[in-house]
Amino acid sequence: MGLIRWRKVNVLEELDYAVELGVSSMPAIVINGQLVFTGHASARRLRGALEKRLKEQAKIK
Amino acid sequence: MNTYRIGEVTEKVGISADTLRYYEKIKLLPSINRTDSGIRVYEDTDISRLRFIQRAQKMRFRLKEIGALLSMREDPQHAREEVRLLTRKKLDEIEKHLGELQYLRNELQLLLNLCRASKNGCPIIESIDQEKI
Repeated sequence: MGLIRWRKVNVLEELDYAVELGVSSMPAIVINGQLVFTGHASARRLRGALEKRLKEQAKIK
Repeated sequence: MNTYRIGEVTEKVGISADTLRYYEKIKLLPSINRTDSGIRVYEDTDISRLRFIQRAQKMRFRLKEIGALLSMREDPQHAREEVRLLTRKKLDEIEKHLGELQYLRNELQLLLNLCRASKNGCPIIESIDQEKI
């Protein structure tokens, strides 16, 4: 359905980036520059959030 | 309407009696009413004005600027153009300051939360230790 690129961010190394995203606690998950989850997200919810965005991207293309 | 002697004002707002008299002299405060025996009697509007002065001073505004802002505060509809411009400029400064404070607040909140959550020590202390090296 689409390609997902992901990376793990060390908040202390990229503190400005984390603050700009609105991260206030860990763990946090950001998708396409948007803070989506703060705290642990279940696999089902994470999958849902990713699929939703992939669908949106597919529509744009 | 409440009235206050100078000692009460000093206690209420934390400004010394000398400073209160000075503010009156340079017209940051209007001419304060006096009793028959010459004792100054302050009113609630004076207290409100003094608190405004304090807030403006915390923002590092100069007394001359504060005087202009007070004239705007008293009669905003008839403020001179230069006073309106100064007020706009000061408002912009406050908004910039607020933005910076908000950013710092978020940063400190994140660090505190990380500190609470960290199993391997506190990242704040670690970052301070690294700076020492």
